[in-house]
Amino acid sequence: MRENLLLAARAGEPDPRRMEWIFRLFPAMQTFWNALAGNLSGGQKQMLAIARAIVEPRKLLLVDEPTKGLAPAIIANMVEAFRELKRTDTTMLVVEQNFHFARALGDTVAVMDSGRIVHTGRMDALAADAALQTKLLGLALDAHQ
Amino acid sequence: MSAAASADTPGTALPAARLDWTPVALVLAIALAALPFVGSLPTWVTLTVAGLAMGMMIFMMASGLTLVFGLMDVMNFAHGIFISVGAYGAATVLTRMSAQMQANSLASDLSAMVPAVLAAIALAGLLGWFFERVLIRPVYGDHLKQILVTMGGLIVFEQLIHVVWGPDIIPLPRPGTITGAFIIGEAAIERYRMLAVIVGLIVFAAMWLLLNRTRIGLLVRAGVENPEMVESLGYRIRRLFIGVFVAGSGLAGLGGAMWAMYQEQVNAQMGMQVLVVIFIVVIIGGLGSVGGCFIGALLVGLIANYTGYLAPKLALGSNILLMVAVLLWRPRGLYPIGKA
Repeated sequence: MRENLLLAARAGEPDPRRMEWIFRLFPAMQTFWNALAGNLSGGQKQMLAIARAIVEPRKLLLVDEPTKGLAPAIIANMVEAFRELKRTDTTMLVVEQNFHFARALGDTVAVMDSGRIVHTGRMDALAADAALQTKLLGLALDAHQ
Repeated sequence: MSAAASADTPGTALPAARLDWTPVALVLAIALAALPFVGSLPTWVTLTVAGLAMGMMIFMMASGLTLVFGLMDVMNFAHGIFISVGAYGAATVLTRMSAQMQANSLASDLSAMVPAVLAAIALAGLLGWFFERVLIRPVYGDHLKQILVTMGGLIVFEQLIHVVWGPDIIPLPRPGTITGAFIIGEAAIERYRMLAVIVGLIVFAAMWLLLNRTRIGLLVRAGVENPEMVESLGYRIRRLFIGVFVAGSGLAGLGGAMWAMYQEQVNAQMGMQVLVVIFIVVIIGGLGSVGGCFIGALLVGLIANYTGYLAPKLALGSNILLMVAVLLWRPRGLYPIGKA
C-alpha cells in the first residue's frame, strides 16, 4: 500500500499532513499500510485507488463509481473528503449510481440512459423535483435509499 | 517516509511484503545434497564454484529478458542476438588492446577489459533500441507476430554479424591475470569463474537496489504488475518500455561478453545456443521477477555442473527436468509476479 501512494505522489514524498487527512478518511489504510495491495479486499482496493487519486492536489479528478464496494460509514467520510477537495481548486467529474452520494457533491448533473445523456441541469433543481427524478431515475429521491 | 512511519501500526491483519526464503534454501539444499554423491570435498567445491559462475553469467544474460517479458509482455526471441553482438563488441575491443592484456598486470588487464565490457553493453543497448523502435513496436500485444518478427530479426542479424565480423569463430584469449586457477585446500578454483561470480553478484545487487530503493525501480515494478494503473497516474509507460528494453539488451551484452571470455571464443550463434537455457531460467524464476531469475539461474548452473559430473548423459536434459520439477511445485515460477 505504501509504495502505491509513493508512486502516485508525482512531486516526491507525500505530504505528511495530507497523509494524516487520508488516514482520517480511511482509517483501515493504517492497518493495511504494509500489506501487499494485491491481497486487499475489493473495498480496500477502492480506498487505495481513491487515496492514490487524492494523495496530491489535482486540478481535475475523473472518478468512476467511487462508492462501489465501500461501507456506508466510509462513504460518508468520502463525501466529506470530496467536499473538502471541492473547496480547493480541484474540479471533479464523478460517475455514480448512488444518487444520494451524487447529490451531496454535485453542482451540475447529467443523467445517462443506455449511453446517451438524457438530461443536464443543476443538481439542486433535480434534487428538488420528485417528478423529474421519477421520470429519469425510476424512483424519487426519498424512495432511493 | 515520515507519513509511513506514523502509519505503521502493530498487528497488521494482512500479510506484509516479505521475502520468501524457500527458493534460496532450495539452492543451498541442492548444493549440500550433491556433496555425498560427489564424494570428494575439493571436487564439490570446484563444481559448486563452476555452477555458481555459470549461473551468474546466465543471470546477466536472462535478467533483461525477464523484465521485458514482465513489463512489456513481449516474447523477444531475438534476445540471443544482443548476447552475440555484445560478445563481438567485447572481442573487437580486446583484440585491439591485446598488448595491454599481455602485460600480466591487473591494472593493465582492467584497462582492456573495462572498455571491452562497456563496448559490449553500449553496442547491445543500441541494437536493443533499434529492435524496440523498428521491429517490436508494431507488434505490441500480438504474441504470435512477436515470435515471428523477433525470430526473423535474430536470423537476419546473425547473418549481418557474418557480414561485419566474418563467418569464422574468433578466438578470444583471456587476460593473463584472470587465467588459470588458485588452490584453496585441495580445491582448484578457476580465477575467471570467481570473477564471474563477483560480477554477477555486483549486477544483482545493483539491480536489486535500483528496483527496490529508487523511484524508477518502483515505477518498473509497478509497470510489471499493472501497467494500466501506472499510465493512469500520468507516467509515460512507453518511455519506461524503451528504457527497460535498452537496459535489458545492455545486460545481455554484458552477459555475452562474460560468456565469450568464459568460452574463449566468439561465434554468431552463441546467443541462440544459450537462448533455451535463458528462457528456462526466466520461466523457472517467474515472468518479470529479477530475484526469481537470479535463483533460477543459480539452480540451472549448479544442477548442470553436478549432473555433468555425476551423470553426463543426464546433463543435457537436466535443465528441462529442473523446469518441470519447479513448475510442478510452483506453477507460476519461484517468485510469481502478481499481474493485475
